[in-house]
Amino acid sequence: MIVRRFMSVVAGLLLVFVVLVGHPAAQQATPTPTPAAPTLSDLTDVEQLRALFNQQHGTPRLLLLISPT
Amino acid sequence: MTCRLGASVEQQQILAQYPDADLAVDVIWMPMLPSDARDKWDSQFLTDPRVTQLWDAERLVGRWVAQEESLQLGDTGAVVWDAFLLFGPEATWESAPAGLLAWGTPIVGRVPQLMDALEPLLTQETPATAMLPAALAFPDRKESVVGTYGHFVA
Repeated sequence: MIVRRFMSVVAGLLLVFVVLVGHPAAQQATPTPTPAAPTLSDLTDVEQLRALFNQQHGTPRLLLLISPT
Repeated sequence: MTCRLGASVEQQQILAQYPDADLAVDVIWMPMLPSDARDKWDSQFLTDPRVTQLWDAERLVGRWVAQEESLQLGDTGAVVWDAFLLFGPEATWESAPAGLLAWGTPIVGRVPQLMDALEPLLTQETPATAMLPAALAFPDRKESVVGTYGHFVA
């Protein structure tokens, strides 16, 4: 009797597990990382650009000097 | 608007066309027109993670680049803007940046020159591509049209 009750509890837990794992929400448990939002940093010295430039050594660098409007 | 258009072309023709290319794009935004202000910066305009964006309220970079002793660009006026400067991977900046490959202004009119200088840098890491004749490796390469303000240093 106890064994039968134990087995039915296990079966119930398994059913819950299968339902949860099969649920679309569970399948999306590992979200795709979203790219960081662009930021605008203040430049107060040309030295900042120099540091950034040298930090990117080993990579082709394209500098754009533009205005917002 | 022309200035933004130039930057938009950059994004579409370069960053979108070469999504995996090793390239750093540093954008220096400067107030040049009466309508320009820091809060006019559109965060959704250049969204590629390879882009670093800086706000240069005092136009320090534009004025520095315009100085003859900085990059020896010739007569550029007091402030260089609506312009691109391309450097290779080995370029370093001691007293001034060395290794300038190409520059041009205004951007929107000089994209063919920029692409001619840039594309070999973006594709050189692919051995199979390096072995192909240029015409096959770069079938979309535009003919170089050297304009008044398009300059190749190397």
